[in-house]
Amino acid sequence: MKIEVKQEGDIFMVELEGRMDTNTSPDFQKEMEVYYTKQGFNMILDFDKLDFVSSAGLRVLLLIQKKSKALSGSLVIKNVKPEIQEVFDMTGFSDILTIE
Amino acid sequence: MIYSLNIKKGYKKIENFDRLTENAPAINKQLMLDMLAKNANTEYGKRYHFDQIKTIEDYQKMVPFSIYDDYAPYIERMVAGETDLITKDPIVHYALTSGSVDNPKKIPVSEQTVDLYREYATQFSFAIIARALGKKWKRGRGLNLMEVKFETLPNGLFAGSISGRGVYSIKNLLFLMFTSPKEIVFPTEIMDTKYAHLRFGLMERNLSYIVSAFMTGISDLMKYMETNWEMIVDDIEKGTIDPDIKIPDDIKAQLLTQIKPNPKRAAELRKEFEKGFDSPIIPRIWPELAFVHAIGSGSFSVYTDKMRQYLGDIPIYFSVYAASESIMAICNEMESQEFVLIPDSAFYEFIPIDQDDREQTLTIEQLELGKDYEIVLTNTSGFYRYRIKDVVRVVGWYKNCPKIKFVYRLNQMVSIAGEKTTEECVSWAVKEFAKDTGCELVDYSVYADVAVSPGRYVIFIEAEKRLARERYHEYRQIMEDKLGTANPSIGAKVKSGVLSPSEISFVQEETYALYRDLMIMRGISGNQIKPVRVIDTLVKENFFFALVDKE
Repeated sequence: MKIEVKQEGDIFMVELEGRMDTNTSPDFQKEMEVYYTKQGFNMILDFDKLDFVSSAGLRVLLLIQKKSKALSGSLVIKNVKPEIQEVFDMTGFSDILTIE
Repeated sequence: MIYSLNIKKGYKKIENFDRLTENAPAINKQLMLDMLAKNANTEYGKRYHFDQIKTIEDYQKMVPFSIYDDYAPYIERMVAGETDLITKDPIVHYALTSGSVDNPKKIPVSEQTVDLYREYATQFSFAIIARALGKKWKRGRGLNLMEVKFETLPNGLFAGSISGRGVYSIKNLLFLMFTSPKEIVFPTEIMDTKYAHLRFGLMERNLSYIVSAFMTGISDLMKYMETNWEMIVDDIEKGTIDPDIKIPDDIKAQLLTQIKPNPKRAAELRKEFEKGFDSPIIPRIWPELAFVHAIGSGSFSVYTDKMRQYLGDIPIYFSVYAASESIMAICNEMESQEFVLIPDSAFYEFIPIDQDDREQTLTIEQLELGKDYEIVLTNTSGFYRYRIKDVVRVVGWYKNCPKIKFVYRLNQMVSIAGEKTTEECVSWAVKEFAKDTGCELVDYSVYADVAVSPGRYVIFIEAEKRLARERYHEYRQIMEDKLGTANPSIGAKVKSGVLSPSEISFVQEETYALYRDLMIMRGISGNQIKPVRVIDTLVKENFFFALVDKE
């Protein structure tokens, strides 16, 4: 999975490309740690080029979401493809995450 | 010292238990009559004329079976402050059950019930372990994974898990017994408690035991250790808490006052972790660890099997057979997965599972070896002839008291065309399937798929390593054979076309861990999360189908 982080003001904009699965999720989590552990962090994950999210990927998203609550930050997910949106809907993640 | 006192009391409890079990039928009957006499002047007691009940037959005739919904209106009034509704005993706690996410049940718990839990789950258990292990158990501190997360009700009482209540009752002794500091055992905010439990546990070279409500908690912790040992060992070496670990600043500051750099212990741990996890890791990092204490039989057994890889020869004490409503039975030997009914904890009635009308109950002395019964409880907190919906099997006798094992929950039984498949059947079939195919099981569930016609069984499996997809048809046949052996009615119904052939759906890695993460996020205590054996709600159905590995 390709990860590109841009800072726009106080927002970390993360563009993702490829697949967020068992193989790629640990690296994704490691790379994001520096951002989601900051007090009041604002993160936008752009899923425009992301094709797949597995259970392992969902666990990382859940972790970042929990951190955003604990650290008074925010997590927004944008441009979600219909097949990933369906996974979010079926697993209950649509009620947990902010999806635009 | 702390153990000596508990063990001493436990030995007396064992002696007393021998007397109780010798006379189990009479003791149990007397307990029921005493409870009815005591509670005759409650609203429930007056309604069912407890004062006129003199025999078991009177009781069975005059008091109907009950379920939680029968008590719910009383409990709402009790929570608002009313007393003497279902029991004269003061209620000291409300046990929140994990049954429903939206509306957990509040089970009233009397002081007497709390005492029974303490006497059996702590004192009796420790005495059994001490008797079995002798000097092998050095009686050092243990790693306790039971956390206390309570909410306060309008009547000022706490509500939370029953296991949490047990830990709360020894809150002043925690530091003497357990490695995890009180800031972790009583978490006030969301934090990485897995890290914290492990961090403090790993610092303790002489760790004596691990205790958790359920084996799932310990198994998850071991998995976390496999993934994160380098970070934790670095922290032990430097006396730090990794900045990425989410622990509120004030709590982190408190914890850091209890931590010193320990390069010697870190080096010892690193050396062992670097050797890998193929041989049992626990005896290598905690050479004095003598036992694990957790509920791990029945539907937890897949986690217990996994734990054996970490434990090697270290024995397990399988603890108790209990629910929020009562502690019902206890292991009186290490490693035994048979539980002796506790005659002075509740009055027990039993409905033979093969009885048609399911109205007639039997008492302890009428049970038969090898038969399955639905258990009906009259507990010490105000529930009368309460259908807890568990089915147990009589597997032996201890003196004149039955030894039982949990078989399945009635509302977890799957039946598409009357074939009545229990958790036990599915568990056997899946484990046999794993043996034949070399599948390393992480977890499994069963789903009755009636969207197809005729209906069929779908077995969901998460495996440690992906199985060869090109052999899927062979796997499906193996599972079909195993299910048909476990429950011959399935085999016959598939053959005659009443059921469609069964399916296997492999779910993606970490699916079951994700499900537990979600439950915890929704406020369910980690102490209470049980394995998903039956996919029986739309929420579970959507969740697991969405995460089927389609590749």
